[in-house]
Formats: sequence, structure tokens, C-alpha cells
Amino acid sequence: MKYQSQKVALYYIYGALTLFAAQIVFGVVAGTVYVFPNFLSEVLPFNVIRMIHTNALIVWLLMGYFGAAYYLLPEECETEIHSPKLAIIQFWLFMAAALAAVVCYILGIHEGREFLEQPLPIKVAIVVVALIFLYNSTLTLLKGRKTAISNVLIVGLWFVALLFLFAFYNPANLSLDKMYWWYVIHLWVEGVWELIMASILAFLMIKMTGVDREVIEKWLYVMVSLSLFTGILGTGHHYLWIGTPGYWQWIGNVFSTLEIVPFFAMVVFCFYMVWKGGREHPNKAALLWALGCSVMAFFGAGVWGFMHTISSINYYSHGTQITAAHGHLAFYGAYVMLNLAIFTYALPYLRGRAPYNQQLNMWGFWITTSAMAFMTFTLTFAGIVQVHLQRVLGMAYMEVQDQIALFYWMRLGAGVVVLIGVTLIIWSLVVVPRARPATGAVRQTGK
Amino acid sequence: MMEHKTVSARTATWVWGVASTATILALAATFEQVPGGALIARFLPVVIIMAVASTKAWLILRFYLGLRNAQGSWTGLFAAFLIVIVVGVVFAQAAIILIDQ
Amino acid sequence: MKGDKNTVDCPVRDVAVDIAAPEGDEDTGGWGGLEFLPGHPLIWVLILSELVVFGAFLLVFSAVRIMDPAGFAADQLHLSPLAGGINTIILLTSGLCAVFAMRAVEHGKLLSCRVWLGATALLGLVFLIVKLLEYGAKIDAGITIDTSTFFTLYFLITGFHALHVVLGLGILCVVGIWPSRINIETGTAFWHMVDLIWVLVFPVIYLVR
Ligand code: HEM
Ligand SMILES: [Fe+2]
Repeated sequence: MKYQSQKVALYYIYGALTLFAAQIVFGVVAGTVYVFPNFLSEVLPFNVIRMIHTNALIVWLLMGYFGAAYYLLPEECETEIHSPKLAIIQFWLFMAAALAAVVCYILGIHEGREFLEQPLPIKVAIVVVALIFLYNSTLTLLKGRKTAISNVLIVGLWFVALLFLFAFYNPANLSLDKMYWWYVIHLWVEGVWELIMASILAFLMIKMTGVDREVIEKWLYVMVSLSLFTGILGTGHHYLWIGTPGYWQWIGNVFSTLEIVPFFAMVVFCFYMVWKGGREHPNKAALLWALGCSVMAFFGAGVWGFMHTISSINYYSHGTQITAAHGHLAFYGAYVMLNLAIFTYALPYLRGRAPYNQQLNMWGFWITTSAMAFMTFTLTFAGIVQVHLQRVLGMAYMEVQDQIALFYWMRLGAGVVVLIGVTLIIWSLVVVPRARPATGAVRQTGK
Repeated sequence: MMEHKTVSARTATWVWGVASTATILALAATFEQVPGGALIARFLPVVIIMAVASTKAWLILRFYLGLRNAQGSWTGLFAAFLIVIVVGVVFAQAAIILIDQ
Repeated sequence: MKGDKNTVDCPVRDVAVDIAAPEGDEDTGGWGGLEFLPGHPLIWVLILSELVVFGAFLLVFSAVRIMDPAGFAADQLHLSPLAGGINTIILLTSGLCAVFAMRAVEHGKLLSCRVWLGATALLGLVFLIVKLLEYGAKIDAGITIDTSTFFTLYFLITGFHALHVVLGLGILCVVGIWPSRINIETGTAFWHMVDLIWVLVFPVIYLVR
């Protein structure tokens, strides 16, 4: 760690890990309700559990991006953060807003629009958080060196904030409501979050493989161009059967199919850079997360997304467990793993230590990733059976749910294993072993 | 980026002349009734139209977009692209004729 | 990229922060071959993407036509192959002007380059006018994008293409204002791509029956 102000990233990383734990716990509880429908029904209804599960995910991912930005901006821009104090205020405001949202949900106060359930004042607070961040990071960027990585990252985060403004507009017409809803959801995960993903991966590759920045930046530009080229009009894959004009089917089919390309490019990028660099970086766990991220994002978003993106297939699969399977693996592969990669990379520097708990962290990687893959398979099979019984044969919804109960049991099993894996990961990141006396002052190479 | 030699004005004008004439020919081909059985009458014009189209595309690629200076692998890639389209369209026509019969 | 004004000013071996710089890592340009094509490599990312998208649309169009050849043929009668043919020749001519603009900038003749670019753009405008007249005729005949699958695809494909002509006009303006060699090469590459796509779109939609 070269710049003192990078330390503010620690707040964000610990905050994110806390919410990550909450997300997984609530996920397991939600999975339990699927098999014991009355579990907790008096205390915490399912819709509240689900809201906390999904909102905690989004908030901790965003918190992770903020942390990543505060960590990498000083190094990229070669200057201190404009105002570390403001960054800390921003963190606590964000955390407070997140906790207030949870309290509201438990009390039954929410706007009932998936992912955007936050009551209006909390949405406003989120915008304030974003404004503080954009102010702080943009000033940092402007006063320092400008690199492709920092530019792409900050442009991405600007658009994350701008697109969130559509969350304030909620037309009464259900089709229009959904249309704008996807402006936020789709254009986030399949548009500007991909910019964040590509730039953070590029940062990690520069740091860990030793390949020239010149080469990596060119890749970054290409990946980002492909993401936007395919992702923006790819929104059409949500306008297939929701009452939007028919031409969206053609646009959605063609462009969203091509959305696989940027994810594939990221896999090629990461592996090619590691191969080309041919260097052993001491932080093996971080490299594993970065490589794993590109691969699992390709499968979760690219392959599992493509599975149901064609309009004639989506006609049957829309809103079934197939969607759930895809949503889980895509979020995990692309954005959860991305955050864990940068956390794993940055924490040793932030705490002035050589990479620690590498073995434990990598066990966490394999256990969690395998369990997520298994969960995806069970949900996919559940979805296929569900589509057949419900959409083809026309059986009633609840009758079908009984038929796929076995899959829900397996999903719960996978969830419990994920919880174990995540515990290992968080433990490995947070609990630093006491330094051995002889090497007490040793820091990571070259620092 | 490398320095590229742009085509000479003469060659460019030739390319333009050939492509424009081909366009007019292709237009004529669609209006003319081709003699022969239903099969040929419906199949041949499509082949001609697509042959003309891909020739024009090829000329643009090589002389206007400057692909003639690029390596063979690029030439191959763009050729493959044109082949896929021509084959796709011609096969569709063949399928339509076969289903009809 | 060496010597290109667009290159980001950054030290080459930032890696030293983390680990020693790798030895013998020759700079291959790093664009994976794109640097061997004329114009800025990123324009070729766009050109290749566009070709894939339009190629996919044309294949989809042909595939859907198999399902309903009679309907497609009937709808196609509403199109004017003559207007499409005229537009083809307009674009070809416009492309020729773009080549001349490129040659002019190569010989350092900026004024001549700008005049040819102007001619290129003017023909592009004529193309758009013809296109709008065609669309107007459709709408007068009560035909819209929802009329049939044929017309959905017709409006989508030709509409997307026309948008690229508009975008191309903007690009021509920009490179006309800053007529460096690389800029003109990049701008005209985009314009030729628009031309290239039209010579494929026109026959598949207007002529094949
Ligand atoms: C990392 C990127 C991605 C993430 C995080 C993600 C996440 C999600 C989530 C959570 C949903 C469910 C939304 C809801 O209805 O509540 C969804 C739906 C969908 N996703 Fe993705 N996705 C990603 C990329 C992709 C890609 C690349 C494709 C296509 C190739 C795709 C295709 C779809 C489709 C078609 C749906 C709608 C399913 C339905 O109709 O029920 N996704 N995605
Ligand atoms: Fe999407």
C-alpha cells in the first residue's frame, strides 16, 4: 500500500463482508422456507426474507465496488484520495441506509418492486451516498494520472448512479413499470457493471501478471466496447413477452445472444494475461478468484443466460426456476467473485502483511464455487421439470411445486455448503494470523 | 497502426464502375423472366443476385476498406463471413423451393 | 500505437510496484492483429461487431422467410427495388469520394480532403432522403413495423442501417474538423462498412424472392 488514504477501503471491505454474511444467512433461511413452508412465517414472512437476501447482495456488491475504487484509485492516479474523511462519512451513511431498509422491510414498509423495494427516503439517501462517492472519486481522478482503468471504472460508477435514477419513476402501467425497471437492473448487470468488472480485472492483471499496462489497456477497451455494444440493446431480452412491441423480440434475440462475447473475451483475457505474464505472484488466492470470476461469469451469465434468452424459449421459461438458476450463478460468478478477488488481493496490503490464510481462502473458493454450481444444476433441473409440467402440460402452479420438492431439498443442501464455504472465506480474510516474530516486519514483495 | 497504401484513383474508379454496373445487372435479373422450369427460374436469379452482392462486398472490402494490404487470416475471416451469408440465403431459397414441390 | 496521440501517457512498467518486470516481453502492439488493418484498431472492433449483427439479422430474415415465402413475396411487392438500387449506387459513389478524401490527406491536401469528405457526406444525405421517402410511402400505404414479420424485419434492418448512416455523417464531420491521417482513415473505414452492409442488405431484402 503506497498511499495512506487507501486505508478507507478497509471500511468498505469489512462492511461488504458483513452484509455478505447476512445475505447468505437469509438465503439459507429462504431456501428452508421452500421446504418447510411455514418456517418463520409468523415472524418473518418469505417476501421479507427474500428482500433482505437480494438487497443485501446488491448493497454489498456496490459497497465492494466503492472499496475497490478507493483502493485502486490512489495507485492508478498516483495521488491520495481527495477526502478520506468524506469517504468514511459516505460509508456510514450507506451502512445506515442499508440497515434502515432492513428495519423497514421487517416492519412491512417497502415499495414492492424487486431489488428496488427501498422506501423513498432510503432511495434518496442512496443517491446522496452515490453523489458523495462520485464527487470524491472524480476529484481524485482529475487531480492525478489518468489511466484507462481508472477512467473506465469511474465512468462505470457514474452510470451506475445515473441509471439508478430510473428507480424513482414507477408508472402505474405494469408493462411500463417493468420497462423502466430493467433500465436499472439489466443495464446495471449487463452494461455498466461489466465496465467495473473489466476494469477491476484489468487492474488485478496488471498487478499480478506483470504484463505491460499498454497491452492490458487495449484489451480493456475492446472488452468494454463489446459489453456496451451487446448489452445495451440486449435489454430487448426482457421485452419479449411483457406487452412491449413485437420488434423487441428480434432485437433481444440477436443482441442478447451476442452478450456472451464480452464474457468470453474476459475469460480469454485473464488466462492469456496469466499465461503471457508467466509470473508467480505471491497472492495465489487472489489470482484464483480473478480467473475463477471470469470463468464462472462466462457460465453463469453467458451460457446460463443464453439458455433462455431466445424469445421462443423464454416464452416457456420466463420467471421459472430456470431464471433463478441463471440469476444465482451469474451474480455469484461475475460480481461476488470479482469482489472477493479484489478483497483477497487488497487486504494483505491494507493490513501491511504478506498474503495470509491462502490455503483456507482457496478451500473457501472451491467449496463455495462447487456448491453454487450444484445449486445452479438443481435449480436448472427444477426449472426444466417446472416448465414442462406447468407451461407445457398446464398443471397448476402449486401442484408443480410439490413435484419439484426434491430439487428444493438439494438446493437447501447446496445453500448450507455455500454458508460453510463463505464462513471460511470471510474467516480467511478477516482473521489475520499473528505474525511470526522473525518475519514480523516482512511485507509483500517489492513494497 | 501501420501505414497503409490507399488504392490509386484509377483502381478506385474501376471498382466503382464494376460495382455500379453489377448493381444494375442484378436489378435487371430480378425483373427478367428466366427461361426454364420452375426450379431454375426461381433458383438461378437468387444465385446471381447473391453472387453480385458478394462480389460488390468483396470489392468494397479489398479496395475501399483496404483489406488487400492485410494478412491472409483477415482476408479469410471476411471471406468466411460473406460465404456464410451467401450460403445461408441460397439454402433458404433452396429450402423454399423444395418444400413447395 | 507508438507515436499515436491517443496513447495514454503512462509508464510502461507499472508492474514494478508489485513484482519485478518480466524480461523480454516484446511489445507486439497488443491488438491481436487489429493493428494491421487501416484506421484505429477500435473501429475494427465496431466494424466486426456490426458485421456480425447485420449478418445475423440477414440470416434470421432468410430463415423466417422459409416459414412464409408467399407472405414475404407479397409484402416485398410494396418495396421499390429501383429506390434501393439507386441508393446502392449513391452509396457506392459516396464510398468512392471517401477513397478520394483518403488519398488527398495522404498527399497532405487538406482542402481537397475536406471537399471530398463533404461530397461523401452529401451523398449520404441523399441516401437518407431516398430512405425517408420510401418510409413515407410505406406509412402512407398504412404499413408499419407491426404490419407483418416481413415489415418488422424490414424496418428494423434498414432502420438500423439508416441510423448508422446518420452516425457515419457525424463521424465524417468530426474527422473533417480534425483531418489527421489516422482520423480520416478511421472515419472512412466506418463509412465503407456502412456501404458494405447496404450492398448485402439491399439484395437480401429487396431482391431475393
Ligand atoms: C453478470 C451478468 C448477469 C447477471 C448478474 C444476471 C442476473 C439476472 C437476474 C437476477 C435475473 C432475474 C431477474 C428477475 O426477473 O428478477 C436475470 C434474468 C434474465 N437474464 Fe440475466 N444476468 C446476467 C447476464 C445475462 C446474460 C449475458 C444473458 C443472456 C445471454 C442473460 C439473460 C437473461 C434473461 C433472458 C433473463 C430473463 C429471464 C426470464 O424471462 O425470467 N442474463 N438475469
Ligand atoms: Fe438482462
